[in-house]
Amino acid sequence: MSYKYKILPHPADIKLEITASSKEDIFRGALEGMAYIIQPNISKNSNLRKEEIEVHSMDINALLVDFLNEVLAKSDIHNSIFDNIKIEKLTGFYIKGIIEGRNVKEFSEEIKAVTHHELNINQDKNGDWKVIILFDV
Amino acid sequence: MFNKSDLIKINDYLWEIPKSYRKDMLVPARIYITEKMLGEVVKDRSLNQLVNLAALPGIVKYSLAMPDIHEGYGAPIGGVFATKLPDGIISPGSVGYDINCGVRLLRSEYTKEEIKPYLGKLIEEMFYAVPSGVGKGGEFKLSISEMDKILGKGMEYIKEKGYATEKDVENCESGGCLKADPCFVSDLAKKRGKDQLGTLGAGNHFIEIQEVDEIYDEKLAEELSFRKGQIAILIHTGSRGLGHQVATDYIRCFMQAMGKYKISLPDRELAAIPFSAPEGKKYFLAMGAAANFAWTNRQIITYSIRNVWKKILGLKKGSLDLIYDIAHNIAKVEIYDINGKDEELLVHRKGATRAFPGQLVLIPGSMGTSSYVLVGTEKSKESFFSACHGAGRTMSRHEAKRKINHRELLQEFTRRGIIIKSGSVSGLVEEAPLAYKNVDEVVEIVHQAGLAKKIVQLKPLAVIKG
Repeated sequence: MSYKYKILPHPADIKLEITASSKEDIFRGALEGMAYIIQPNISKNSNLRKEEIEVHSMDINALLVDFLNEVLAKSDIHNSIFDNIKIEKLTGFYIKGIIEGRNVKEFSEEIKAVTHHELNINQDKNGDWKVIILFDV
Repeated sequence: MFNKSDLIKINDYLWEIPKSYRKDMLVPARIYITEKMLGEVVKDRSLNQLVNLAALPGIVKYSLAMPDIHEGYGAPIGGVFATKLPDGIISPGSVGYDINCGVRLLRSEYTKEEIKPYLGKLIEEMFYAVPSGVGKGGEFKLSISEMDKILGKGMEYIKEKGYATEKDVENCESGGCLKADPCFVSDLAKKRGKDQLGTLGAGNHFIEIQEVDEIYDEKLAEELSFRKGQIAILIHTGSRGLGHQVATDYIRCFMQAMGKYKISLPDRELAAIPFSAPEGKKYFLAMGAAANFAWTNRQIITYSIRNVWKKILGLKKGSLDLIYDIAHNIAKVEIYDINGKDEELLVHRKGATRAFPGQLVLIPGSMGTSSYVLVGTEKSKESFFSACHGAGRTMSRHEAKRKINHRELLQEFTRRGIIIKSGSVSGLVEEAPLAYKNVDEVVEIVHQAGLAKKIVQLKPLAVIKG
């Protein structure tokens, strides 16, 4: 399992670049990166929360956005930040798993939504996967 | 990226990207800007995004950008365009995620000198009365049936419940109630909104206690009972998680449906389908519901602020009158004369306000800078009766955090006599005035271009930053 993420400059919103060794890790890295934006330091003392997640989408790019938006809605409803996923199944159109996170009193950053703006998951000649996600904040 | 040479100067405040610039453009793209500010605009990708709008099916005349334009996702912030109904497109991404994000202005009978001894106490109590920041719920927990009534009737419902006056309703754009159907709002959206009524949220949302600092139009200022030094309150917030979810749901739905209508677009975030299509009609009614939620949200905040006002100052000099409440992320059906014929158009305004002749236009500045009250003109017909919505960002939040020192920022506000209340250090720095265009220059373009005329300028005395 290997991925890394970094925040890129954008005039108004937040851009996150994820590089990973597999498609699964793109999803893991994107989830952790989004949690980092919402709250850079999540206290490990608060209650652990687990939620089932299952998303169908038209293709892999839409799936990543729809998955993260689903997580965002759960975060909002349960006042929790999810930074880990145990993936049970991932195809180009479908993801199922258990997301894990912590209950929090409030978030540091409000993400309104994960956007589809120019999002394209691609694999380079070395086999690394890469994507840039724009978050509306 | 654009070069200035790609644009044709129409006059000192209006520039055009001709239809010939890109093969898929159906109409030209226009931007209200000065040559000086254009030099900054071409540095980001906002003009590319403006050109993308010019390729949307059913667009009429031109895509437009207001002087506060900056790069967004899909449509640029400050973008305006109209599509011909019934078959022109509707695009949730061109309304934005914060449906009916907007501002409302309350006027008091107090002067700056009279309010000074109470200012600290007022802002302190307002800060506790109106939850702000991310993930902060409010006191109003809604049942599903109450939620549906708010989504369906907006300000009308909240008036029936005693939280708004008849005058409050009258002084909201569209009476604070758009045609809506709560059935088309997902359960997920309703769950996200259930404890968010009466909350400010985060980002660039704020409450400011302001004074009238300058009067440009004596007659109109008098009609509005605005005098120099008079105290007003400006509230900036939107439809919170409920609106964000409505937009998310329908962008997803539209992306899947576009193939059915043979629509292909340069950016998925612009996902659009004909207004007349079943999905288009559903989104329009769901957007209306989210807009009604936003007006109700601003009204509940007003209710809380009025309670604080009454508690601290009593009612000797009256309460706080709602002067106007305006949306700046919305799509509306309006009638325009196109080639000598009245046509029904769907006007999308994303980070832009409606500016009908005689209607008040509220333009908030960035945190701690001036805000303006203007009035719409006949001339703004050329911009589909639209004006700018604020200052517009120039610096990323990341860069702002890197460049701006929190302590120095607070010292600067103290030096200027402005009280700041904020729960978030990083949020405060992200919204520092340096991260935005100069609102005075932006408003001057709108004024000089004749889209709206300045009435008064307001300056902040105390700020609650969301």
